[in-house]
Amino acid sequence: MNRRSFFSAIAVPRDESGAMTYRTGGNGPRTSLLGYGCMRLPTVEGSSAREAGDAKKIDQEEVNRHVDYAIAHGINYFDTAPVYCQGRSEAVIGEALARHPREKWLIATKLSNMSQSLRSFEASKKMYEQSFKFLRTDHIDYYLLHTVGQGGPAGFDDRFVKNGILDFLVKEREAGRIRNLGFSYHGDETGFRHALSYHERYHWDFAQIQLSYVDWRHGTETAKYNHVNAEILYNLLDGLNIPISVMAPTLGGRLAKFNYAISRCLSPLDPDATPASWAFRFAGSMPRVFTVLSGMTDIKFIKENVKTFSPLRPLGAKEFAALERAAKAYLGEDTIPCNSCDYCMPCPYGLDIPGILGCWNEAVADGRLPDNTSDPDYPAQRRCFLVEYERAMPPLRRADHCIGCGRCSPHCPQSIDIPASIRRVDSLVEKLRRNGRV
Amino acid sequence: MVEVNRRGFLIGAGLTAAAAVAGDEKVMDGGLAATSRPGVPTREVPLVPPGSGSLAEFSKRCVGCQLCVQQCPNLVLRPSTSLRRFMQPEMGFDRGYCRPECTRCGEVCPAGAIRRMKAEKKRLVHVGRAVWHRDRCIAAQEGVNCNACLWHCPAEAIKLVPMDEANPKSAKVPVVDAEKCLGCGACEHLCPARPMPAMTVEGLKEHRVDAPKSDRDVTKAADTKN
Repeated sequence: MNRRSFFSAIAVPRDESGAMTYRTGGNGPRTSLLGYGCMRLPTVEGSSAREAGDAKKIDQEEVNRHVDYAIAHGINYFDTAPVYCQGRSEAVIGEALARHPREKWLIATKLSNMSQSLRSFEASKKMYEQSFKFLRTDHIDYYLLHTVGQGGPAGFDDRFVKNGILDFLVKEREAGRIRNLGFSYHGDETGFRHALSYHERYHWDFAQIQLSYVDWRHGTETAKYNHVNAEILYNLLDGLNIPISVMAPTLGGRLAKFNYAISRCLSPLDPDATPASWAFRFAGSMPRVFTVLSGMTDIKFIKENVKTFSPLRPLGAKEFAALERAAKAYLGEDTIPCNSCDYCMPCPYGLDIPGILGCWNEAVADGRLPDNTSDPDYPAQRRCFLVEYERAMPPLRRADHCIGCGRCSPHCPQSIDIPASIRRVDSLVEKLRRNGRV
Repeated sequence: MVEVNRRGFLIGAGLTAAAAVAGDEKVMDGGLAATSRPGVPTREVPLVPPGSGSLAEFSKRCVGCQLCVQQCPNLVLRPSTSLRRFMQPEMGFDRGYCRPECTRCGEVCPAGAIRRMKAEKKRLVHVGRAVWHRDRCIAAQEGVNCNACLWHCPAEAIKLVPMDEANPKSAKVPVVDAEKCLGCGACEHLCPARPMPAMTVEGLKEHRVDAPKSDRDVTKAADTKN
């Protein structure tokens, strides 16, 4: 060891400090690269609030524990919205955060004025003001126009420009009640360019996009996705120096579960790395990204993810290439691109839409979708699928109760043709049932 | 041809608009809507399982042992409460319907009241016929785009037609081909109308059995849905 390497070794010990990585995202303090998403808060029954249904309460005690752990381990970015968890997310996270000094946390919430009755100036303003009450704060650090892109450019103007709410929000930013104004995006490139065209007039402090190693170059690959490559959105924002927050880095948990096709590409590089850590490192390696959101229903996920981000090890070229191969392998599978965000719910006819689509996706991820009767594993796969399906949902919430009304589809940020997908699952179940007894 | 006067048209248009607005009125994400099982209608002729030949024959042979009731995997069979057929099974579709691949009741019947048959043969047996109730159908009443009965009919006995022949965009409502209908109850069980389904099955006193088609036709019919 020469003198230089000795000193560099003791001076900067290769960032193995175990401290959270921080980035600068717009105005205000630096943000933790891992952000806590409040869409999948834990319930008393131990399931995520999205899985639980009306009767089950969010577990405030558990959320408090999550927040305590998160803040103690350097997470300072919390992302919620008025509509999350059936409208209870803001109040619950507000209560948990109020137990910590205000300078310890940054809060992001949204203007979720999607439905027609909430699009007026008064209704939108009321929603904005209510967020302050629920979150018990005098300023919102990050305020987002929620799910821009759905309804195209006309939908954007209708929801934010024509009613004057955006002008109002800009004034609120001048008054210091909003520290950063931005939007979250689900849609195609045209709608995105339209939203960016307002940059000169309103100045976006940040933007939130869906970014995973699958979305990066394959957002438009299949008709199912009907989207845009995250790379395009990233580069557009990068060109305008707009900081980026990332949602759905694991596609709503789909990339965090074991998947045979993906692990074949990734395990040889690092056998100990979890599937989720790959997805988080991909999103975190992008320099313009200031936080990567994760909805962590269980404290074990927070622990695991804190490890991934403390500090973040950026991906090398070899790893990028492997993730691109994994993305291709993943797309080669017949997955329904549902991220279980629950925006389609409640289905007026009582179906558990994400539950039904989840059964299909889990079978695909495990490589046990019973789609080939001549496969020697078919009888076992068939039995397994039917048992899992019947366990997952009570009879009145299963796919056969879909009437095909299509009210769900316009709410889907992934543009899934939901009735067609539900009927695909129904057809499979029907075929399996007719092929002998379970 | 359905006659639509000005008032009827306006009411219809109003209902459709109301339904469209209601569809967009989703303010919060998540949760599950309340569900309830469909009601069980009173049937003029009770439904007895395929393999029993006719209601009279069945009533004569059945000893009311409840084996079929206990074994029915689709929860269709239940003991009758009528005095004349007390404890003899009859069919109801509040918890499931008589599935095409299932022949369990015939396998367990010790009295020969329900005869054993293969699933291929069962597809040829008609035990009832579906009846549409316009006043309950959500497509006819609320203009909802619904095709539950069409999608699930294993006999392809249901077609959808526009309510107003002159207007192909009007709500589509079902018509039943009584010749093809088996009386399995899929439409009754899966109809979303509450409390009573808009499709109900009336029993046939004498069950009807189609002439067996060639093997190829039978397999084809079974595969069309898949």
